Amino acid sequence: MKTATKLALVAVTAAVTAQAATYARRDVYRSTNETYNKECGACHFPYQAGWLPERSWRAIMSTLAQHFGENAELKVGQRQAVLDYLVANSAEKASSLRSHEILEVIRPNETPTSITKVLYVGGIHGGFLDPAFKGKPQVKTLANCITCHPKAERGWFVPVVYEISDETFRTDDVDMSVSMPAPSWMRFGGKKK
Amino acid sequence: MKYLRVLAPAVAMLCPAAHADTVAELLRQYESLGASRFTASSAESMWTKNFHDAKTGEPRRCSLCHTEDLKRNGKHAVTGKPIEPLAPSANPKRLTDAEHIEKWFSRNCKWTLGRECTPQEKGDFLVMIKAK
Repeated sequence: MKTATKLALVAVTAAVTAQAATYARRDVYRSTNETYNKECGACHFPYQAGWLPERSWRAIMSTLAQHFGENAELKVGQRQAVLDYLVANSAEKASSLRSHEILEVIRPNETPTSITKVLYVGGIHGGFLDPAFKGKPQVKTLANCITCHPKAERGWFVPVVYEISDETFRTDDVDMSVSMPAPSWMRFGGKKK
Repeated sequence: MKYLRVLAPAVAMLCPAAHADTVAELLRQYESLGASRFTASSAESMWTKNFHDAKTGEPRRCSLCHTEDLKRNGKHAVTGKPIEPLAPSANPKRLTDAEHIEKWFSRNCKWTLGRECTPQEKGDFLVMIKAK
């Protein structure tokens, strides 16, 4: 069983490495459009175009009067300029591994209009939103990437500044006879003291 | 375009009355639309008044994001993104761009009040903010 897991891991790693070689960049491309950065970045982290497919950007940009419960209307010319930019740099157009991975998890009949609801993003961050999860800073919303990913505006999500105390991993009140611990390769943060 | 970011605050500091012209021009426009005798006090009382969202019923007010002290940073109610102070004394870029002012009046009045602000209300707000 262990050997099988290891073999599977080697296969996955090999596949990822092979894929990475065909992409110009591992992470998403930084947003270079001044209008987008200024207009959209005024209220929220300017999520890079490579995080969503073209159809998602079209859906978002056509409903700005009701934008996550807020009015985010733009002048017609500005709206078109931002949409053109987003479409030209959407996940389908970006030659980054992350954009490719995003497209992989979105079904063809789905048009996600929230990046944090895409499984690829929401899934791995889900636990952080649990109020019982004690870390610093406390995560209340996934909207503000830059809090934990200081280089996110440049499109780099790899360095993460987030403090998880040992307290987080206390298992005293968990009935270990029924819960199955995650396999060691899925855990992060190194060995437990 | 980077030099603009350096230049803009410098220019703004050189002409501390830049906001006076912009505001005066906007007030004239509002008067031509029927508004008159703008008062800071009516804007002040509206600033902290709760308006209830038609859909969710949640209370919304200007000070929710901009705080009650206009010289301090505000915070976006949903995303938590910092909002620079509205008071020109703390942030000389404020009230210098008519287009910027109208855009945010439109968005924020719709979010907070559920409708556009009247020319009278907008004038009152400008008079109040300018004095800060």
